[in-house]
Amino acid sequence: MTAETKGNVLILHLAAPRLDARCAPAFRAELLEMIEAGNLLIVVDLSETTFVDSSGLSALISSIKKMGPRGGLAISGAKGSVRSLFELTRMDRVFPMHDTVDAAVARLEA
Amino acid sequence: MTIRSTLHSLFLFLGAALLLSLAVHLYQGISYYQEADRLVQSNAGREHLARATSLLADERSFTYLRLLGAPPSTGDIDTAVHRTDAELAAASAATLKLRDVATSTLIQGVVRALKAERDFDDHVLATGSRVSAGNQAPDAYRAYGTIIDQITRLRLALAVRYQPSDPQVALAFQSRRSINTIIEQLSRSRLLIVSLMDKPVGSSPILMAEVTKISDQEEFLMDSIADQLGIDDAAIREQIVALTSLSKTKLMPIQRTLIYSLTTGQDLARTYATWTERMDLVQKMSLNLQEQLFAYSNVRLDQQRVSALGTVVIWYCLACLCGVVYFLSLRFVQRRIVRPLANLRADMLRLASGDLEVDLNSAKGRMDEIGGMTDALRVFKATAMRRSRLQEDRLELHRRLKHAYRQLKEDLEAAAVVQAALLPRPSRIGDVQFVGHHEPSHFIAGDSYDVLPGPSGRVVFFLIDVAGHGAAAALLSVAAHHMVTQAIQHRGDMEPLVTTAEKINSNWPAHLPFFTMILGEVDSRSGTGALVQAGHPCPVLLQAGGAIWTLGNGGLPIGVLPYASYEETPFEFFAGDKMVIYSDGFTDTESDEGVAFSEARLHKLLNDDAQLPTDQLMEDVIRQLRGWQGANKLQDDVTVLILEAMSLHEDDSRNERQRLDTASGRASA
Repeated sequence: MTAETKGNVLILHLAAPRLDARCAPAFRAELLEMIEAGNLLIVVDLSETTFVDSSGLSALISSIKKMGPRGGLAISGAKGSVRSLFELTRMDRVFPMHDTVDAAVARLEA
Repeated sequence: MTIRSTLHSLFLFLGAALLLSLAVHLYQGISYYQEADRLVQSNAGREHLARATSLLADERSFTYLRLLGAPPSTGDIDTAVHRTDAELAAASAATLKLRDVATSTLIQGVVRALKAERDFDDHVLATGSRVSAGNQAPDAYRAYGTIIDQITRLRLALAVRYQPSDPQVALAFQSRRSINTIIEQLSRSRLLIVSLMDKPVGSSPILMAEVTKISDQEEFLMDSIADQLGIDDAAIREQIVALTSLSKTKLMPIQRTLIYSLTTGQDLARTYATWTERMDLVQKMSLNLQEQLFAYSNVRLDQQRVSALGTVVIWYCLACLCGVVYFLSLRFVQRRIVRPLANLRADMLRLASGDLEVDLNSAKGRMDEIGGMTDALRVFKATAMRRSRLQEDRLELHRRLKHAYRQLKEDLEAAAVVQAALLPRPSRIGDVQFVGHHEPSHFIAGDSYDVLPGPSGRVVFFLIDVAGHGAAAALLSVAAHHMVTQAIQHRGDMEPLVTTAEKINSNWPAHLPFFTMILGEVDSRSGTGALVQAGHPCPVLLQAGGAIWTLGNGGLPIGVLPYASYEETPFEFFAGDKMVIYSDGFTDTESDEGVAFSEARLHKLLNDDAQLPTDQLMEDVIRQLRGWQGANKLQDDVTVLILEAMSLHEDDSRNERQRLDTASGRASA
């Protein structure tokens, strides 16, 4: 996973093709660590990811709970089965979904 | 080859070389000493023989003159005889010491011949007339001469057999031979001249010729001994010079005058007196010179023998010293190198075999290489002991881990049994038959399901999937199972399914992970049903007529948002209809190539198997999943629940459904 910052928004590019039970705990721990470090606006770029299971969703939900009402977490680049999962679980209503990182950043900064 | 054998071989070789070298030198020294000793004994024998020769010359003179009628002088002759015998006996003993039995035997023969001659001469003197005794005189003279010649040859033989290596001694021997010859010639010439004095002038031309001849030989011999002045003894050299000078300047001239006077008779008495006086002097000097040469030879030979003995003693002592040093060195090497190395090797082998009780104090305090090696071995032992302790700790840890793993496995297996006991067995509630398949990816699962009788004859069912899997998810699954069951059991008759779902969601602790859920109910009598989808994959409805429907439009999982709202999805569920509910672990199961089974493949499979009885449908679905899975382990829990509406009045139910289809149509789910 690589990170970059645009303004107040931290962008995390998930390089792994799968966000499942094997890597979700580490992803969750890293996300929580960044939130604790003061990053309350985060975009998770899933353009390279082809599979997300409930563990991955759990990590994202833990992060949004950790941020509380002052923070925001948006998803960019989700497609295929990943996007379907977000839609099935209605997570697309919890996490704003955007096709591009810039759109997600703009949404969070707005 | 070991260092021990190498050192032993090296020491053996060096010791043998040293011993051989010392033995050679010692043997040479002993040989040199034996040669010197033989020379001493040989010289003693020759000395006795030389003295015997001189004495025999005197005895010959006495005997000759007695036979010619000279007045007897018993005392002198007896003394000479005894001394001669003593010298010959001593010479014989000396040759015996040399183990020269042949020479000793020859000397004994000479003694016997001498005794026979003496006895014969005494017999002639005692029994014969004066004339017969006078006739015997020349024979006795020749007999004594023969004996003297025999003794001289024996002397020469000894001299040839035992030649000295010292040139000075060789020169002394040569001088001795010359002076002996001179003494013999002087004795002979004197005897002949004395005998001629008793004869009338010119009456014995033969004796005169003999005297002249001997006189010439004397001059020659004096010249030859004058050539032997190379001897390194000044007194002997002076004596030789004095003797030759006296002989040439005094004796030889008067002797020539006397020989002439014996021929002519002129001035004979005065000349004879002068000659006698000078002859006495020359003979005395010759005898003195002979004794000096004897003494010189003896001293030189004794020195050589002592020197040889000293050499032998030195080499012997050196051999003993080398032997002692050799054995001390061997013992030193044995104690300081060979034995410590052997001990080190044995200690190393014991350490290598794991024996850590080995004692490494044998070379304690040594600062050399052996001490260094022992120190290194001590470090090795300490490391081995530490490694052994670590190994024991590791084995103990391994045992504990193994025990803990076994305990955990037993706990998990027990938990799996408990979890399985919570799940309903394939059964039938009212007109609803159901069968479930529950397969944890690791002992216990985060999935769970149940089918319960609901109010008014309805049948309620649910299937939940806690995020994650393993023990934590399983515990949450049990908790969720309990919560959902309680919510169903405490649900009012008229309570909408959505309300029940929202209660479950709001009661689920916010700090716990969420779970997905399908909560539904069917009333096979009326052919209706409804379900709430909370983040779970859409169930599949297989209608008896062959149509397949996926039900639900999604929904938030339970526990994401405490006040989330859910939608209720109604559906028809007539006799023969089947509903398949599954967890995402089923469709996410990957093949060997890493391809997920997928919803599309599941829908096709269900379409193909739609007409199979419920239990066979479940078997085929699981068999297809096994085939797809191959050798891969499950990455997630797999749960499948199949419900089928059963009715004793199946035709009525089907007719009722056709009626409803016609009336209201069916929208795609």
